[in-house]
Amino acid sequence: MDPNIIRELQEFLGKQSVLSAREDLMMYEYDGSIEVARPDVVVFPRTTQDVVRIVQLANRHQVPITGRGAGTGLSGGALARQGGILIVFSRMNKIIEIDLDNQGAVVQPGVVNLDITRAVEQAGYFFAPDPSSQKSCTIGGNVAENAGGPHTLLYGITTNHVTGLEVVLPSGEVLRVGGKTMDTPGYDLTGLLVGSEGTLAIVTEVTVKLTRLPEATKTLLAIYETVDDATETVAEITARAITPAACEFMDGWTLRVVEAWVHAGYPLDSAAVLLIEVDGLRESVEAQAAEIIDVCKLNHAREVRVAKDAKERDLLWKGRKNAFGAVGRVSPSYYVQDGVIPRTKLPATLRKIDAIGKKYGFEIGNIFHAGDGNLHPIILFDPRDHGQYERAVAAAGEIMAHCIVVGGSITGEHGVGFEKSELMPLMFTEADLEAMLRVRHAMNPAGLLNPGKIFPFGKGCGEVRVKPFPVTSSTPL
Amino acid sequence: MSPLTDATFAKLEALVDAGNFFTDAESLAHCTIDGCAPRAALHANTVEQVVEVVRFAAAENLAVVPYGTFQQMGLGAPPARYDIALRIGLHRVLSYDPRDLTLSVEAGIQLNFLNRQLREQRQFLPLDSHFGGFATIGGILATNSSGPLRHAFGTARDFLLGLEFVTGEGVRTKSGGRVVKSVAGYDIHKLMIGSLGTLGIITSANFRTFPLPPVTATYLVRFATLDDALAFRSAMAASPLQPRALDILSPEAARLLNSLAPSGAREFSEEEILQIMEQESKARRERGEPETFGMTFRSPAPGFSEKEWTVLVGTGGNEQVVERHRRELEPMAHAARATAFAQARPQHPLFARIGEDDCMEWSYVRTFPSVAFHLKPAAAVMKINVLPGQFSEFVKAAGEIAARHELASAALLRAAGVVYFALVPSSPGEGAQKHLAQACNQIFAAAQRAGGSPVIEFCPAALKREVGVWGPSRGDLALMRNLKNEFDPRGILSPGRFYGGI
Repeated sequence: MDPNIIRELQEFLGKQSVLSAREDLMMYEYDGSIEVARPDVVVFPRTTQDVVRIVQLANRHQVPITGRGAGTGLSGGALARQGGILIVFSRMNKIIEIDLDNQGAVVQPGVVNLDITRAVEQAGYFFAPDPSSQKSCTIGGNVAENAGGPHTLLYGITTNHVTGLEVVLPSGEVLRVGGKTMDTPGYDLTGLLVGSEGTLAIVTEVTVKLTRLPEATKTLLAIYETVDDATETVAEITARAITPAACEFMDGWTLRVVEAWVHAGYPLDSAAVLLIEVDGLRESVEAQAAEIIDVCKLNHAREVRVAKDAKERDLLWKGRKNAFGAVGRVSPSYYVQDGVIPRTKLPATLRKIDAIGKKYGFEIGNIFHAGDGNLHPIILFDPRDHGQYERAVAAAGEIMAHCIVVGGSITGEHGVGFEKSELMPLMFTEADLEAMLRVRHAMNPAGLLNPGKIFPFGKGCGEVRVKPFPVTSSTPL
Repeated sequence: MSPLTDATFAKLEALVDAGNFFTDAESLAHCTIDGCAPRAALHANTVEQVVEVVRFAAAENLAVVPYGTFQQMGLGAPPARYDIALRIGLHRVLSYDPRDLTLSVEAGIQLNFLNRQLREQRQFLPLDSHFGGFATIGGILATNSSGPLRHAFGTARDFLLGLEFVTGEGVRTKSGGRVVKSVAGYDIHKLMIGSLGTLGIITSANFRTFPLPPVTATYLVRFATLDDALAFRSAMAASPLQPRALDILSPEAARLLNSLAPSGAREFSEEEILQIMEQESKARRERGEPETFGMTFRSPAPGFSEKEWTVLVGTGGNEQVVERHRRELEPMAHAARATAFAQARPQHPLFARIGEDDCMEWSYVRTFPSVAFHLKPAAAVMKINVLPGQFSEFVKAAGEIAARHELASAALLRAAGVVYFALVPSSPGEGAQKHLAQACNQIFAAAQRAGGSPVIEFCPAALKREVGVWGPSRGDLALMRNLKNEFDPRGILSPGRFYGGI
């Protein structure tokens, strides 16, 4: 990268806020996905004004910009695919305002998701979107990816809890969209920006809604001898229009890997378990739990355990939330997917995934948000064996194709990033992608914000073709 | 205004089915918006026809305004240009999977009709409009309509999964998906909500559905002052209770709603009600008025207190949940100095079948904004999003502004954070309109000070020439204009009707 750019950044941000040495940049070339891309410089703004100056500089030199929170993302969203400047928000981590009376808060993008809840739970509130990485992921990242989590089945996803944003546009202009209330007149720019994966604007402040903590919670662990019985249970719970607060599936293989590390008390000899949580008013929780237990038993659950206290509940959830980490101990590399299917298609889809695994010779673990049909098949492979990597990608492709064929989606919560950009044409026609490109053109005409994400690489269409810009010293893809 | 040649009319007519093209004065009068009539009215019965009409309009630079039942067309500024009124006559349920609680419907289907089908599976869609269930899904989405149930369910953006639309260049496009969770691509479908047909014409929409609660009960609670009513609201918000709906009616609003019921009203039988509805419908058709809900036959009169504030609390769930609410709401109400607490009488089964209202009081209250205007056509009815914590201050300020300008006012507060405020001139005439305009502008300012966003939803056409119904523009207007240009480069879709003159 042009040393003048680095010097300019150091001048207005301070040397301690700029990293340019190769060994420092290497720390930021990966995230939670299998992708790798090295930025040319990493900066740590403290204020919106810092971000404005960074964007203005990027414009002057026509250098790409990528935003990053904690780097826990699973689709390569926070990776500088085409090099340039990586803006890390870890120093913009203040909770600016909490308004319990109106159930809202205003926070900077670097605030850790769980910290929002921690700040208000004594008063009886929480921030509902709860990605498994919530102890480290940031709200800015949640907004970029429109993050979900196990409890979004009942409470909704990030976009349902964000009423307004302050953003810096690619032009360097600071803009406020939405506000503290929903339904601001005009186009729903907040709704457009949440989930836009950092390709339309840079978020510098988020106005969120807080939710009252439920009065009662009941956590159940249903244990099965076959995967089919577990998936049929989920389909039946859905069909009865019961909406648990969470309904998570773990297959036996994943379960054993997790138990070896976490010791949550998972049964080592089962084919699958469902971790189901209901919350709300006491009366509602009792009735829902009773009906769910009925459905589990009707579908041959060997046993349904009810967590007897908060400690037991926390342990069960610890197992679920640390599952991918546990898998990482066992396999040198794994490829997690994020497809969504209608709940009615769950049993058939898991059988299909099993068949695909056998076809390509892989162990495919399944640990996912069964309640909303959001699958996370985990394909384990040895990255040193290039043939395995290629087969893993092929297997993943078949799983994705199946999700689309049954009417689902290629991503339920991780985002498209650059990991799934080539899959977009599975879900969207040329016209659909053209509409999205036009939105990006309206907001990010020079294409400097997080290039190479969402859209199939090389996708352009005549007059809205993204201008190619120089790729610098990034790791080759 | 460029003349539409006979050749152009002929080409347009050929784009739709026979008998679905109108240029006679009566049909055009039917499609008039704030005194502006189109040059032709077309009914599109397939998506392909919508595409062809828009493509043709783009090529010929003709302005198109899409509609469903035409009831909500008064929302927004008058169109800057208006050549074609295009009825989106697409009525089908495209797919419904009750076991997955997902649904895909064409935009022209009426909410009532849809909910009736969902009811058969004990499900429903918590959408609503100021015109009750007669509005179409497309119209509800395009106007971002909502009703009392937004308290528990949010608005369309919270359960719309995706939709299909036709751009201003006539390109069929979709956004989102059909499953309950998807983050693939930009949420353009969210942009379409409330866009008033300026970004594209919605042709179909996908939703998640919700189960009907086994039991419901509504309570009517009276308070001497707004602050007491708001104390009750706060107590509920701080408790674990989860009401489905929570509306607060001012005494003046109550008076307006009470006046809807015929005097000397008695209990009607189902056959009589149906007969009255049909008679009223026929009379409206003969007068060339659009089909709309019929309110005049409802009986008995709601009998809202005209001296006190009324809070309506809707509850639902299993029997124990409903019982819990009843047990706890009453002492909570009395702690907030309620002067009366009663359960509403369950709705006549006929209306329970048509809508979800468990009691007739909701049927009145949910249509308050349009009813207020229907009864007082010289009024301005505003919708202001205000945080509940600011309700008291704002409503008082608005009331004072109204009084200073010799205007009567009526308010409906929806606990989710919306105030509907009607300003009513006591006597018609030039002076009254000036006062009304001034009052509206002052209320816009008061709303902004309260951190809220105001819009005039209903008002006389003449007022729209003096006051921008969308309120003052904000810094995000330039971006919205850019987006408009991308989706409708020739500016033919509902030009000039939207926020900022878009």
